Amino acid sequence: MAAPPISVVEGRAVNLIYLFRWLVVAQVLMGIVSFCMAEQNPGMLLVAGAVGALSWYIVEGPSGQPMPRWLTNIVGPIAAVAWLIFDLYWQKGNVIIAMGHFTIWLQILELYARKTNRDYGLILVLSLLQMVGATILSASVIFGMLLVMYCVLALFTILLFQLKSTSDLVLEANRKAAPLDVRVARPGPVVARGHRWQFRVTAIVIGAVSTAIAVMVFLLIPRTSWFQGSSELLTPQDKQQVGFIPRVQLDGLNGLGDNPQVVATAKILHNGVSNQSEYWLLRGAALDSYDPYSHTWTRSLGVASRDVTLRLPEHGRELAALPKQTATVEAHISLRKTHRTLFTLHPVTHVAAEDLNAIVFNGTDQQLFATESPSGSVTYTVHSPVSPPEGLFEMYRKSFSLQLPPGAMRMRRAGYRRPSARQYARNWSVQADRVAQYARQIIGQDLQTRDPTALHDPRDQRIADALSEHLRRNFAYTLENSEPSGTDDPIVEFLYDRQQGHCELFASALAAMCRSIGIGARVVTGYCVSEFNRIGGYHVVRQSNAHAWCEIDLGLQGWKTYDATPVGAVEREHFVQRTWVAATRELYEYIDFLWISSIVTYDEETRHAVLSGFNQSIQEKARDQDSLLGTTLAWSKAFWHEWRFNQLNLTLIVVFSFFILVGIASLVHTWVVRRRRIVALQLNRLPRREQRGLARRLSFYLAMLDMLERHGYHRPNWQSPYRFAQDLAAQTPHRFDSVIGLTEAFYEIRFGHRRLDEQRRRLIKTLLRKLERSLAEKT
Amino acid sequence: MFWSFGLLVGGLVVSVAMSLHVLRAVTVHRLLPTHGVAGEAMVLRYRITNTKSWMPVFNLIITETWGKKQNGWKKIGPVADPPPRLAGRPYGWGMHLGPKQSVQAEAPCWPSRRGVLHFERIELTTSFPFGVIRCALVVDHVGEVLIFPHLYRINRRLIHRMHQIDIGGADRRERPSDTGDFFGLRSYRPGDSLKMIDWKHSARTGELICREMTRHSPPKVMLALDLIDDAAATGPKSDKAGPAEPVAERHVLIERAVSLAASVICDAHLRGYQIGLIVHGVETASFPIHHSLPHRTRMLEALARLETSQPDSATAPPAIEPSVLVRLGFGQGHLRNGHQLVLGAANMDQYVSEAERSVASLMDGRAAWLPRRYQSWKAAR
Repeated sequence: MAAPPISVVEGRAVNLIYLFRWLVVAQVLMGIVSFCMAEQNPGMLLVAGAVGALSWYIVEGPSGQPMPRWLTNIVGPIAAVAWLIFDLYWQKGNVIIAMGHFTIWLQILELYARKTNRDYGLILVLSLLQMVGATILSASVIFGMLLVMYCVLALFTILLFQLKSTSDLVLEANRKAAPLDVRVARPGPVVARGHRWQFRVTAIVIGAVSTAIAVMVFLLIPRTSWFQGSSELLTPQDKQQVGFIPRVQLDGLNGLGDNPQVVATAKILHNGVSNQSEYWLLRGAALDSYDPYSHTWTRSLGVASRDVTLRLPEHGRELAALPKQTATVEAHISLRKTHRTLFTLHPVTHVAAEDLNAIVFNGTDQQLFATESPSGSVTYTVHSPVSPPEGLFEMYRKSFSLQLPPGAMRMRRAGYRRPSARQYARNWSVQADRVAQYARQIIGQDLQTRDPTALHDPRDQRIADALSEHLRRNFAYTLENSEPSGTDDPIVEFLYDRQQGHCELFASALAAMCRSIGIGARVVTGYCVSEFNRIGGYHVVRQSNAHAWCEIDLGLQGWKTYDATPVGAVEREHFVQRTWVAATRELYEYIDFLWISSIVTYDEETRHAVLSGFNQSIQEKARDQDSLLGTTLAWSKAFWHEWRFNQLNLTLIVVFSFFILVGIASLVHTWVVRRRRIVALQLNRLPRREQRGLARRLSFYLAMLDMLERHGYHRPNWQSPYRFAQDLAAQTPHRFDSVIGLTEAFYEIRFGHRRLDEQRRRLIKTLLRKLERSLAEKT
Repeated sequence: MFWSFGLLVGGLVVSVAMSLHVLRAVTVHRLLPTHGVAGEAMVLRYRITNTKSWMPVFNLIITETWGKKQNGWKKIGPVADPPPRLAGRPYGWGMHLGPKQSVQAEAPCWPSRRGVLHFERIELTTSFPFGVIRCALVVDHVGEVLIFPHLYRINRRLIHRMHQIDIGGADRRERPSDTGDFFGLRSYRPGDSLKMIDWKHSARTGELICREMTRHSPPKVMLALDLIDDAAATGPKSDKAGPAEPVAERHVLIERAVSLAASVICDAHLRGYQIGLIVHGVETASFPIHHSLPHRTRMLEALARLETSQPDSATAPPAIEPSVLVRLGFGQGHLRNGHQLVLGAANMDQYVSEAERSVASLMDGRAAWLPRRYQSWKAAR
C-alpha cells in the first residue's frame, strides 16, 4: 500500500475556510460602502459599516460566538421588514433606497448568525442586489471604481466559495456514510506543486475572459428605450435634487446656491473651437407669469398648452431653418440627472439627442423638454445662431402653433382661450404704477418715452439697454437677503428700498419694468457657465452656477437675452482659483466625464458609432499603403498575381511553411520548458548563461520530483532537497535509497560545480531507473 | 446593468469552455488496500494524473459508482446504489491538480459487512469555477477488497481462561532458552554467548559450563466455529443464563458467531497464542495450530469468505476436540469439562465490548429490533 501523500495538509483546509469568511465580510462591507456612497448617506455608511465590521470580532474572533438563531432568524428579519415598511410608507422613501437599506440589515444579521453554505449564498446574492441598486442610483466614477473592485473581490469569493462548498459536500457525504459514533474529519485539500499561483492565474484568466466577453456584450448588444421607464423609481425628492427648479420664488434663496456638485458638462464649439475664456448662459425655464401672492415666477398654463411633441430622428431635428452662411454655436451637453428640462443656448435651431426618441418644444417660449424624466444621464447636441436672424421667432411661432395639443379642443369648448401673442409676457399688474414710474424715471433720464399700448417700438432695444444698465450700475449683487417686509412686493421693495439682491431679483425687476411700460419680457432660469476643464476641453456646470436673467421681446429681432446682474460680482462668485487642488479636481471631473460619456450613457447611437468607427478604421488601415495591414494586404494580392504557382510549387511552399512553423513552435516550447526549469530549480538569480547550463544539467532532479509526485510524494517549497530525501528515506529506507543518491548528485552539480560527465550521467540514469522500479513495485 | 449582464454571460461562457476541457487528459487509478474490516474506516486512494500541458484542474470530487453509467448526455441506465457491504459511497476531494502533475487523493468508506467488496468504476466530477456546469469523467476500473468480519476486543477474563487451556493439558511449557528463569546447566557449545557461561561451576569442574534459562511456550488454542447448532433455536437451558431470550434470526447469529471467532483469533494472535481454526457446517479449509501474521490473515480471509447462506449439517464434526468452541446459541463462558471453553453468539456481549451496536449495523438495519428488545430484557434482569 502506498504511503499517504505528503501534500495532504489538514491545516490548509482551515485556512481556506478562514480566508473565505474573511472575503465574505470584506465583500459585504464593500457592498455597504458602495451603496451608501451611491445613496450619499454617510450616516448609514458609518452605522452599517461599523456594525458589519464588528461582526468579524464578535462572531469570528478568538472567543467569538454567533448570535442565537431566534434573534437572527425571527426577530432580526421582522425588524428589517418593519424598517422597510417605515421607509416606504411613512418616510415615503425611494423604493431602491429602501430595498438597499433592507438588504444591508439582512446581510448584517446574517453576518452575526451561524452560517451554512446557503446563508453564505444568501449574503452574496443580497450584496449583489445592493450593487445593482447602487448602479441605478449613481453614475459617479468613484462608484465605478468601487464596482470594479467589488467584481474582482466577488470573483475570488465565488471561487473560494466553490471550493468550500465542495469540501463541505464531501464532508457531509462521509459523515452520512460513517457510523453514528465516528467523528469524521474534514477532507484535507489535496494539492500539487504550485497550487497557489496556479489558482491566482486561473482566477485572473477567468476574470479577464469574463471581462472581455462583458466588454463585447456591452459594446454589441442593441439598446432600446425601454430602460428609460425606470425613472419612475426615482422619488420626487430625487427629481428635485437634480439641481434645477423650473420656477423662481422671490421670498428667499432656494438653498442650491453654494452646492458645487456637477450637474452637467457642456462642450461648446464656436467655429469648431472651444474657447475657455468665454462664458455662456445655458437656458432652462422661461417664466412668463408672476403670482403676486406667492411672489413666484412660473410658466403659464396657456404657454404650456402650446407644447408640441416632436419625434427625434437619429440625425436630429431642425426647429427653424437658418439662412446659409449663418454662424452657429454647437453645444454638446451631458446632463447628469435632470428634470424634464433640457438646457440649451438661446435660441435653439437644431437638436439631436442620443438618449431620447422624442422631445417637447414650445414655439412661444422656445423651451425644450424631454418627454419624461430620464433615469440617468442624458447627452444631446444643440445648435444656436450667434446672432439670430430677423423673423426667427416668428418662424417658431408659426411652425409650432398649428398643432393643437391633446385636450385642446375640449378646453376650447369649455370656453378657454389661449393667450394671444400680444398678451404673452406683457402687462404688469403688481403695483404697476410704482414700477412703471421707476422705469419711466430711468428712460426719462435718457430722454426716451414709450407708449405702453404699442406692441413694439423701434426704441425698445435702447430702453431695455438703459434699464438693464441702470440695474447693473446702481444695484448691488448679494446672496445674503433678509426676509421681505410684507407690505410691498419684493420687486418693488428691491427697486425702491433695498437696491441689492440676488440674480432672480435683478431679472424680475428688469422684466417687471419692461412689462410695466409695454415691452414683452420674461424671466429665464438656467446656468451661467464659465468654468472650463482644460484636460477635457469642456465647460463644467455646477449647481452653484445656477442663474436667472431676462429675455426681452424686441420685435423683429425677437427675444433678446439681458442679464441685469452685475457681471463682475457674478464672475467673482464663480471664479475658480488655479491651485493644485483645483487641478486635481479638474482631473477627477474629467475621468468622471469620460466614465459617464463612454460607459454610463453608452447607447444605441454610440454603439453604432463605435462599431462603424472600428470598421472604418480597419478599412482605412487596409487602404493606407503605408500601414502594416495595408502593406500586407497589398503584398499578398501582388504575391498571388505575380507568382503564378503551379501545384508543385504550392505544395513545396506549404511544406516549407509548415516546417518553419514547427521550428518556431519547438523553439518557443524549448524556451518555455527551460524557463519552467529555471523557476522550479530556483535559479533565477544566477547569471543567464549559468542559468541555462544548470537548468540543462539538473533536469534529472526535476524528473525525479515528477516521478515522486506521480506517486503522491510532493516536496513542499519550504523543504530543502536534502531534508526531503532524508524524510523519504526515513519512511522506507530501501525504497528511497536512490533519492538520496540523486539528491547528492544534485548538490554536487548545483553547489559543487561538478561536471555532468559520462560516469555521473550513467549513475544518475541507473538511480532513476531504480527509483522508478521501486515505486512501481510498491504501488 | 449591461456590464452585469455581460459579466454573467462571460462567466457562463468560461464555465462552458472549462467544462469542455478540464477533464480531458485526466487519468485516475484506484489504489486499494489489501483488506478492510467491517465497521472500521477503510481508505481508498486514487492516483489522479493530469497530462495536459497548460490547464490545471481544481475542485475534483472523486467517488465510486455502480450499475449502469451515463454515456455523455444519454443515460444508459440507472446508477445503482452502493453495494450492501458499504454504508455509503466513498467521497474524496482533490483541490488542485496542476498540468503534468499527479496527486493522490483519499476517500474514506465504512464497510458494514464481511465479504468481497467489488468496485466497478470511478467518477471524477468538477463544477469549477462557478458551480454552474458540472462535468464528470467516469472511468471503468474494476477492483475488489476483502472485508474482514467485525472485530471486537475480547474480555480479559476470557483470555485468561483461554490461557489456562492447552491441548496438551498444561498451561505452559518450559524449554531451554536465552531468557526467562534459570532452568539448568549444560556443557558449553560453540556459539554460546559468553554471558551465559557459569564461571563458578566452570572453575569447579574444569570445563566450560553454560546456564540454560526457561522459555515460556505460548498456549495453543484450537478454535472451532460450529454453524450447525440446534441449541440456537431453543435458547439457554439454565436459569442462570437468564430468562428465555428472544432468539435472533439464524443468519444474525451466524454473523455474530463469525465475528466472535475472528475477534478471538485476532486477540489470541495479539497475545502470542498459537491458534488453529475448524469450521463445522460449511465446507472450508481447516487451519492447524500456528502463530504468524500470515496465518492469522489466512484465517481471517477464510472467515471473511465464508458462505453461510446454506449451512450443511451433513458435514462431519471435527476430528480434534477444540479448546474453544464458538456456537450459535448461548455459551457458558467458562471451561466445560475443564478443557473446553464454549462461547455463544447469542450472548456475545458477555465476551466482547460494544457488541450491540455492531450487530445492528452488521445486519444493515434488518435486525434493528434485536438490540432494543435485548436491552429491555437486560434492564429487566
